[in-house]
Amino acid sequence: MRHISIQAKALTRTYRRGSEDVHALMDVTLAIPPSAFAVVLGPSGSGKSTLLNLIGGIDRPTSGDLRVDALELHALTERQLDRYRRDYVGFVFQFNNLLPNLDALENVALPLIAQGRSWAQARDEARTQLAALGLGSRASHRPAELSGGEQQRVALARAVVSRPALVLADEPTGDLDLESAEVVLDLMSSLNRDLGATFVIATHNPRLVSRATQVIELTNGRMTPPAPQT
Amino acid sequence: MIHLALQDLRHDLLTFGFSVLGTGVLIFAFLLLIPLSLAVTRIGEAGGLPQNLIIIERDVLQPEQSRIAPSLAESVSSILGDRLDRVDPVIFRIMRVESHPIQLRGVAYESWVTTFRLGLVEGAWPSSTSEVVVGELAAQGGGWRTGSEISIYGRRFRVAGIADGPGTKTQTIWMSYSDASALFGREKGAQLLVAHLQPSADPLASRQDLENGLRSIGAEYDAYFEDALLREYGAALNDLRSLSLLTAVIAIAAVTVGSHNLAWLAAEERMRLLGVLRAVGFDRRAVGRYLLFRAGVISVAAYLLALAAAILFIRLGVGPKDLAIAGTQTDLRLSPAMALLGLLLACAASLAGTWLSARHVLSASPASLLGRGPGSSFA
Repeated sequence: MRHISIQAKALTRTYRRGSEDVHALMDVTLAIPPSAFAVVLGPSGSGKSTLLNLIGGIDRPTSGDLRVDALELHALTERQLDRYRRDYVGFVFQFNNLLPNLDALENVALPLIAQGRSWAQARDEARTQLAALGLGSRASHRPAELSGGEQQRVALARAVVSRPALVLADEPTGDLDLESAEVVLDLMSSLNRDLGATFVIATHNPRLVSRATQVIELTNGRMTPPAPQT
Repeated sequence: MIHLALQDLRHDLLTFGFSVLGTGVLIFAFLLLIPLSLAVTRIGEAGGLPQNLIIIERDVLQPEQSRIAPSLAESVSSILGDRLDRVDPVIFRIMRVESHPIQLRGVAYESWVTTFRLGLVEGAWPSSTSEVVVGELAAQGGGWRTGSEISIYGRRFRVAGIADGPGTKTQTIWMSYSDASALFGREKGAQLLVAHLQPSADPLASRQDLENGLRSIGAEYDAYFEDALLREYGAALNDLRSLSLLTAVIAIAAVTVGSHNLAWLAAEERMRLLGVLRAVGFDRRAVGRYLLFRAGVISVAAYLLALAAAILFIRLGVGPKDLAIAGTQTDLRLSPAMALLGLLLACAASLAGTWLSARHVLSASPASLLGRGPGSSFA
């Protein structure tokens, strides 16, 4: 696995809403080292998700530079961004976004299918990944038949099954009770240690800070300067 | 992607079923209208008897509207001279006989075999004034057999036999001229005059001479070869053919629009799903293949349903097996070539419609598919 770093310089994302420009992210400059467990903190609307969108290559910056490993994301074509997501990135969504018509095993196998594996091969690898996250017995269940915590663990399995160098999680515990949230966070920490992947987690929950190797705070789309040392 | 599309359809059977049904109805319409159009075209191509010249009142659209003057037969005889074998007035009616559209022809018995070359398929020629002969197509259409009793214009007749002749494309009942004249009223007279030429006569020259001769005596009649008259008659059905073709084209266009709408709805409903697929690494082409394959499965299923319905309708007699227009057999046929054309057009229309609707999804960024703007999360 590749250990990658992330560097952003004057990163800005502006949306057009009606006749109004909405500055979701303004002039953000940051560096995240390889294998980091970075937490992006901030209230709703602070630009956390926008930052993850840009790092994940599912959206493009309005201006600024964004470099992941040797790739200049702001300059990639659509097809190159497709390949970047396929080969580098795993996503964990807040409400897991599992496909309701596929069972847990098939959901986890999707990134492997995207990489060109056969369904049989992808299923085998997905089964191993589900077992590693304690969901071996739930492989044939559809998302609706799983608890919220189980669904989020399936989503986590889908995010890491292809061994991405970068895992992006947006409020991964936002919809879970405390106990389930702790299970998911423990799993993410151990995957970060075991796989060496860089994790970037957006949350408004300050409890995650204790697990972070780096904390990025955003307010109104801007980075909050670190508090002065006393 | 194929697996995903199949799973998607399997778990949404109700929507899948309605999509198949909706598309299938349109393809069914296409599969019926194209054969109808071709059948109507064939009416105009029906072969006739080259030795028979039919004289009909000028500028009438339907033969039954024509009136033949009683003295016309004599004039025709004198114009054609020894080139004429015999000339027969014909009483011609298009009417419903026991709810079946029938062409009724009243002609002298002596001409049935010589001029019209009728041959008995079963039974016998009429031996009394209450007997008729039924053409083979009319017998099929009406379900009549030798010995059947049928009511024509309020009078009972017995079917003495079933007959057929060359070039017969219509459901016809034959009776003697005198019986027909008595049935419909002598004052109405004949509608056609059929001049049967000697085999040695030149048909084209005879026709020309006949038209010139009739014009010279101021008679307002046209002379046609029998097959040309059929073509003229068929031409009157051009509007129906055009309408059938137009409706068939509309049906296929409707498949395109319907598929567009179905794909649009499917894409709108699955916007997040498509966004997730893009986010986990599937590129635009893969998502496009998913949507196209899904539409392809629906259109093939709809086609098979429509084909089965059309075959039932046309061949197995669930619908009118022998559709007749004004007593003329339309001979509906769904050939393998037509069925294949239907499949190709249905699939092409469906894929075109899907492609048109999928463009907005395929050009969208994964973030917008996931409904992500400022203030939203990966939710």
